[in-house]
Amino acid sequence: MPADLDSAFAALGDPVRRALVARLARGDATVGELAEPFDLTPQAISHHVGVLRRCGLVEQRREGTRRPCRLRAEQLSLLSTWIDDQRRVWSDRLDALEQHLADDGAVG
Amino acid sequence: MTSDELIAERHLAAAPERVWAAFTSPASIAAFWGGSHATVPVGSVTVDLRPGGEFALDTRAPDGSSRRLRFVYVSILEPHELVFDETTTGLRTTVTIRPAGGGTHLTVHQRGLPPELRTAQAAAGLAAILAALDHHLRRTP
Repeated sequence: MPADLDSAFAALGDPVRRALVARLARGDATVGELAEPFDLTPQAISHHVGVLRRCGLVEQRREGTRRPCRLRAEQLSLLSTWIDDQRRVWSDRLDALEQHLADDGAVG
Repeated sequence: MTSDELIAERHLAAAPERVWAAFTSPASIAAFWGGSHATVPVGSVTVDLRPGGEFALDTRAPDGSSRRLRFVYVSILEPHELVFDETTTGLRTTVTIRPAGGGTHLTVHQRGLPPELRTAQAAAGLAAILAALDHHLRRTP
């Protein structure tokens, strides 16, 4: 699992961040706009946005004095393919296990 | 997505005790954990086989990049069931090892999402996110 995806899953463990992602899925918004529906300070929202930005789920651009956040939908969609990735990884791993047990059995 | 997902199953021509040993001894883990795509240096594998104990290893990708994976054992039922959580994400993996047809039937189950997303309410929340995402993708060229 890519590091980004790993941290994305961890980031989405938080209900506020999931709500922020849901809000951004409806359109770009500044930290101030994101803070409105929540009983949270812009600083707290800013912290959550920082976490989402670092794991690649959200990006922030500058438009004059505004800094709107955008959901990187392509990153989010990776999460839905994660289970499939795990199936591939484990299938490959069990192939190697099977081989290892065969080799080990032949020697011992 | 709230329940465990069957990730893999395999019939192995080896007794459950040998399969168990393969999953719990550092040398064996190093031999197979990386599959065909990554290598695991044997010296990087640590196994503290008790509930709450850590299981960790480095995986080295073909491009040379290395990554430390850390797990914590949740329960250990030798030689039948091994449950561990990935430390960063809380993702839980359950490996079951059952005698079958002179060998072993092995299954791997995983929780698809971190603990906070396991409740029905959270799952509904994620469903809403994915629905919104779907909507977003439809109107984004």
